[in-house]
Amino acid sequence: MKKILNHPDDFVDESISGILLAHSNFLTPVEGEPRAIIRKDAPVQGKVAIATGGGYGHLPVFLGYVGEGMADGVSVGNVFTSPSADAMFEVTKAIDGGAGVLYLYGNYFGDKMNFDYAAELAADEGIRVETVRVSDDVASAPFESKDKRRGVAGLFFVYKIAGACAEAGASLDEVKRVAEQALESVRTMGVGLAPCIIPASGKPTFEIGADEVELGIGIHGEPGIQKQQLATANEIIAQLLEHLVSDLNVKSGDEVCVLVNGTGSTPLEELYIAYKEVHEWLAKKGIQIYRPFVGEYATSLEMAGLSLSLLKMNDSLKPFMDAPARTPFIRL
Amino acid sequence: MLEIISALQEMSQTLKEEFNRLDGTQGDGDLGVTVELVTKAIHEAASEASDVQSWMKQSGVLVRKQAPSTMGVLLSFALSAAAKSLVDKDVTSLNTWIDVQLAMIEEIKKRGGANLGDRTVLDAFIPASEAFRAAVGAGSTVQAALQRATKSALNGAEATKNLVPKTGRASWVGERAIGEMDGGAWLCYKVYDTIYRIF
Repeated sequence: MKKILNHPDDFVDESISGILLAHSNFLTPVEGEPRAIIRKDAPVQGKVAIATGGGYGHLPVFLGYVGEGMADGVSVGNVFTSPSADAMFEVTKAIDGGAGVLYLYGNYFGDKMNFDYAAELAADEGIRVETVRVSDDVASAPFESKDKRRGVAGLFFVYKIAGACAEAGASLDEVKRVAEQALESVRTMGVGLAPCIIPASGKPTFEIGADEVELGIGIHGEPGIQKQQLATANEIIAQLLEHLVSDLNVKSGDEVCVLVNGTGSTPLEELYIAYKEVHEWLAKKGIQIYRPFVGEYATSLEMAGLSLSLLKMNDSLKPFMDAPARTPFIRL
Repeated sequence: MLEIISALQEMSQTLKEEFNRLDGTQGDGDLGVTVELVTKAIHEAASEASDVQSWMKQSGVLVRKQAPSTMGVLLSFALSAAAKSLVDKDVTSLNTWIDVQLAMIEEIKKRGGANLGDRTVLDAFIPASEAFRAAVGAGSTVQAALQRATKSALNGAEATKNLVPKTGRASWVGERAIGEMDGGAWLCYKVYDTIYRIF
């Protein structure tokens, strides 16, 4: 294992310390709970607060989306492991501005159990909590059981939409409804070229041949649909797009936001080669791009690969997409 | 009790890599880390507790905080449920321990939404607890009952090799998981085995 670290056991805490030191104007930890981090100006009185959280190792997911126009607080777990319900509960109390809290996170079993338990604790304190679990990865379960799908880079779009809606002063029910609408409109699929190494175990997250790629890979290295021979960028992108467009039912004349996301060690240059094909492929089908995003939005440590997300736009989503957002990692 | 906890902690350290490997065939390969954190937490809980009931109660709290992965949280709920079922009970009675196992299984089913045959810890835990109950019902000693339970847990864990995962992260892998045991079921067997060896 060749990594820039002091001790594997300190990986998460030292990394978080660095973020808090670099971005102390944006973020602050909850007193007594260093894994619970909130917006500097939280709680924002009268605003619906958005709490998120999950395993570490996916920056900017989850911590990087805490800020104005996005999430209000985050609980951070160990690498690829759920945070504790206690940390989630501390975040909930610290960000509640009296209008309730939306739990918005990726659809993973461990996170769900902990967030559900935190919601029970919050209810005992009289804080109203609603939940939306993002499940955008089309490769993780078939369409018929899409509530079982895991949450990946499409989280970014749902944070953006729901965060803008909350910032605009909507009620908890309305923020939840809009978040669910965004969730219904987003799909993601990834491709993995090489695994990452988990610091605590020193082991790669999956095994793959030198000339192979895993189509539909998860952001913890979960196996996807199939292993296949490495193909050209255009062929890989066309494969991803065919799955996404069919699952999301995007047709000629529709408008989409596009996210070409690097999973950790994919050069930006390659992501733009991918974007070029996305742009041309969609243009050929008569599908308009409302806004493109290219870069690292949801990583898996140093995993090589990319994911492609489409958000099907409609007039009600556009103002939320265009609203400003300011976090240490995202300025829109 | 302390002897059991120390033995469990030793087991977790010896088998950490094997738990990680089994988990890695269908999950993200961190089960060994979780087991290590869980046994560390229950060891810490023992130093703060005066009896078995308060140890289980405190274990539930500490495991939830220190090992919040899926398996860790399920175990923390199970420990809390066990603690609840032990209130005002005679801890020297084997019938009490039948109830403790049932309470833990019910809580894991409720929180995890899984059942027998879904390729989880329950595929070892349920047959083990049933074997334990049958042995106690037939008048067995604690050693004999634990031996029967351990054997059933191993058979149950072995049988998961042919089961397709239906729940949690492992369900995404589907049939690719076939051929290896479920890590959680194997952990269950190792816990029974460790306790049996102490008695």
